[in-house]
Amino acid sequence: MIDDQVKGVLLAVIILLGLMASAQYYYSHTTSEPFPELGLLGPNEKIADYPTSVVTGQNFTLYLYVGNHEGHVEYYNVLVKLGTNESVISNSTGMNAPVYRIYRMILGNNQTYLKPITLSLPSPGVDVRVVFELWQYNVTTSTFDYTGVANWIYVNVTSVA
Amino acid sequence: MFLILIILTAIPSCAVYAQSATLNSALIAIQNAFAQVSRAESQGANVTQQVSELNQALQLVQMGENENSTVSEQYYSQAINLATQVVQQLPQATRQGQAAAQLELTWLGLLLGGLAAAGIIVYFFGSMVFWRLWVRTHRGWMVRKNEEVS
Repeated sequence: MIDDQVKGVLLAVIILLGLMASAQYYYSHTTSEPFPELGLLGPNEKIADYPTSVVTGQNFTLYLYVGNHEGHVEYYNVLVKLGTNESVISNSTGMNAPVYRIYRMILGNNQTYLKPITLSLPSPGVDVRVVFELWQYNVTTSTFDYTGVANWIYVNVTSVA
Repeated sequence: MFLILIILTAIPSCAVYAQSATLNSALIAIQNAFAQVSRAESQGANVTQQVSELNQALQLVQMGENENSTVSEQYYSQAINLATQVVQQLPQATRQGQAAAQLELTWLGLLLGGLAAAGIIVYFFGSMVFWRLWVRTHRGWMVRKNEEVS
């Protein structure tokens, strides 16, 4: 009677170890929910202190953060575009505005990119929308596709007196 | 005079065209290299080094974009060289990756096989081993007759 119980416990432990080893192997080779990350940090590398008012041509610094959790290597382009309050930002197509700057990076799975970027805005305006769009390279079509991920800040730009 | 004017207006546009062509060729070289890196990774290659080198190539492109045409062309050609170098490294990286993946799968197979063998041993010989161990650990025990309660 007692040896049957011990045998049962040992067999259960063996089955459990087999399942754990198989699950470990399976999960190390798959990504359950692939996604990219795009973040914009202030000059102190925090989600704060974003510039709200600048002079035309005056440099200001932001930190650009991109993360790859897609399960494989990805080639990203972050397009900087300038718009207004009325500019349409959707998650299916990029904003209809000329590209002001491009930042390019290639990231392995679970790799992140955090670098300071210096921008200056060319012309004055109220509530100028500085939009950062994340695009990724499509190996099949050899083009960059919009990921639907975008960040933006509003800046009042005044001209030099 | 008219001919000179035509030549003078044509020179800057030629320069711009040459510069953009070099920028484009650098970007295309990087895109092609990336496509091959992506394919190699899906075949099991560890592409960490190649990703790092392609990022260096992108940095060179960015530096080229901020320079005048002569200097920028040098940056672009360095970026193209790096991308070519990456492509050349890929067959070996793929072979190593495939071997590592095969080894990992073999280890998993051995572990599961070992566990299955342990299960069979426990099932058929578990009782015998258990009681032998029990006897060994209780070797010093003595059997004593219960004192009769009057």
